[in-house]
Amino acid sequence: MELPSMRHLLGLEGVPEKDIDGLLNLAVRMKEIGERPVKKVPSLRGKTVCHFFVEPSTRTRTSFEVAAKRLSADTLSLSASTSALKKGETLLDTAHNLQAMAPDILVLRHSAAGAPHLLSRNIKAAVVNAGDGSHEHPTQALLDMMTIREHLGRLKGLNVVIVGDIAHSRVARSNIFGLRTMGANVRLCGPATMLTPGIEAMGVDVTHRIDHALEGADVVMMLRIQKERMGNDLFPSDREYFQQYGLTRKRLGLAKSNVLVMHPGPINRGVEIAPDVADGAESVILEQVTNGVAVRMAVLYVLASRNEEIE
Amino acid sequence: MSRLVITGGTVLDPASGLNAPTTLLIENDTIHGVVTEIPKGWDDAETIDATGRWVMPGLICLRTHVGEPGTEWKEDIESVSNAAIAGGFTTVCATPNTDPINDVRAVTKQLLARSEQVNGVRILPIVADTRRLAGGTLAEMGDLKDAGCVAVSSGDKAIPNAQLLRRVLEYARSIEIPFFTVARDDSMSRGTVMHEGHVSNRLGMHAMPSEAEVISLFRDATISGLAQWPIHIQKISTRATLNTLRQLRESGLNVTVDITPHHLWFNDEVTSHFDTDTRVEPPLRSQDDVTACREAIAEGLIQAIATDHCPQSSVEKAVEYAYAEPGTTGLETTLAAVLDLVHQKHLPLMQALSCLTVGPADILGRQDLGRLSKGASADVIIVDSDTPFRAESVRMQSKSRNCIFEGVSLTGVVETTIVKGKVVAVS
Repeated sequence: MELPSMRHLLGLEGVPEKDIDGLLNLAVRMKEIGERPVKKVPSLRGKTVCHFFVEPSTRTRTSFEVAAKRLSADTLSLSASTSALKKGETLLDTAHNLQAMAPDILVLRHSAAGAPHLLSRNIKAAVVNAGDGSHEHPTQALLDMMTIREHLGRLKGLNVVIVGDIAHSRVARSNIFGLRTMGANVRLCGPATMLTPGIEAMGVDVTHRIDHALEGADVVMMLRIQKERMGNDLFPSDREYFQQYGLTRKRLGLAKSNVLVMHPGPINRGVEIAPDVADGAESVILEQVTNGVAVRMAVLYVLASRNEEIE
Repeated sequence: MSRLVITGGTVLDPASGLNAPTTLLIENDTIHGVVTEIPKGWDDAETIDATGRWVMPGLICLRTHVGEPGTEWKEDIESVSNAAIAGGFTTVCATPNTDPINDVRAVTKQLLARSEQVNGVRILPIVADTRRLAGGTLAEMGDLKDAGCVAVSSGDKAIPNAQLLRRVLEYARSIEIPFFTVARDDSMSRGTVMHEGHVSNRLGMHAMPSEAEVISLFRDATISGLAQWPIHIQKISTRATLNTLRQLRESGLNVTVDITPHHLWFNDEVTSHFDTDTRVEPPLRSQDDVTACREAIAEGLIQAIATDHCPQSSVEKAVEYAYAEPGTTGLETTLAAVLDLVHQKHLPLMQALSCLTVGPADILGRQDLGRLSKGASADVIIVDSDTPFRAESVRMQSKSRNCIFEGVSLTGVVETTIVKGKVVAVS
């Protein structure tokens, strides 16, 4: 299998189809490792993966940790509260200090867009963007695409609907880049307060009515209402949001019969998605989590191999 | 009595429209005249041979962050003067947002004293509109005008309170001091780091729409009409702003504007790599806006090009994009950027040079600056207008390296800078 040639994974914008395809194929093989009684291979033995989470995260961080450990990498983990950032050190200084301990891969979660790009220009380790502000979250989009392919066999030509606060969503942005590259049709839905003007230029359709959005959908991705990222002026109340944009069983009937329901988590039950839909037969939300580990294993593997070549 | 003859070059004086091979005569610290033949009695004068060069009025910047007092690690009076000399600026207006803020006589006096001590270019202080620039009580702008301030300014923000803006303008009218502000609606621009458009959609960063500039311009110009005092809006940047400006002018309002060289050069695509040197205020706009701004220079809608020279150290710039302080240096690249745009036929020569000389002088109400007429201050530069060079901040005089033009090929080198009749050199 030909591996994608990448030095860092900063985002999916501009990543060619063959590289995404390569990562997804590799992830399928990585998934198999997680199904074995002994869930560990020696591929990254002697490699060090540093998880640097300046912005809090539970599931992405855990997922990366599990991925690195399944590949036998040594891992270390820093958060904003345990790093010197809290003492006023700059991100670059902290990163240079980490670099001095020679990690091979640095996984960064940060609240500012472009933070991984800043590190990638200044340190030797390969940088993985685990979410930068409202910019990108490439491994989330990769795991979403992996899950879709597993169920529907392809990405090309599928109608994928993303509902929610697109303007503030790194998950949406990475999915738009990835899905468009892979030939899927992307339809965005939400109130205009959550969709910035001119976003159609990213090659997507936009509607403000969820009933229109769901018609003929193969996949529905519901975004989390992220209260920590918004002001109070995007929608009147949780109640009204659910009434206008919540994914209910009735609404889901407008989509194709084999529709997939996805959510990057954590779910706000009763706000963006009805509980019975979140737990329903169409929901692949927990499979997304499983595939998250596989995709992150693939990413770590590719970056470690690529950097070995450089050395 | 000292006499200086600059001969052999092409003399350009946007104020009079002169663009011809002639000789410039300087007597003491003022312009004596432009002649085709050196008159009698000038044979023993000191002569500068400017063959193959352009001779023009020294440039005037309406917006320079001088760094002193308060942020001397970024810039001080000596380094800013050297940067100005290197870039052909013989007059720079110092923004009031120093630390402490220029809202008391002592700060103005210190700026002027340091400027005299450095003995480089002319540094003209600008007084804050309100104490601490806090938008509350008016600053003692009358006292500071008497001390040497040439304009009053709201700093980096527009005045959010319309009634306060009216009072500032009315008071400025009473003491006859020009008022400078920026067009920036606070509620639509707070926390933003880039232009709202296709690029911000891709990058997911907080973005400022063009309309935040338009509504601020419209409001401020309207109040200027009520207060019956002209308003000068700095750093305008969008097509929509210019369209509104045209209407305001047609309705008889006395509004002038300036623009930075980087808004004439770069569009928001360059922010895609999260290079913090591209983080400026207002943000870099779309290519359509850049085109409109260039056309507005030709149209005469824009009166001045101001460097907005804003030095920042790595402390302010080697950080996440959203956390970086805005600003780029500009004194040493502005003329070359403008001349390069002229060479590329994006700007007409005389209008562009007017925006760097007589345009800003008129906004300041200074008939003695920015022109080569008899009796004007002998602020003159001699420029090699054709030589391209690569902008490299390490070779510049500014203390700071945050140059948005880093690595860009520009055209035109300042060879000689004359302030008040004396050749000044980088110290």
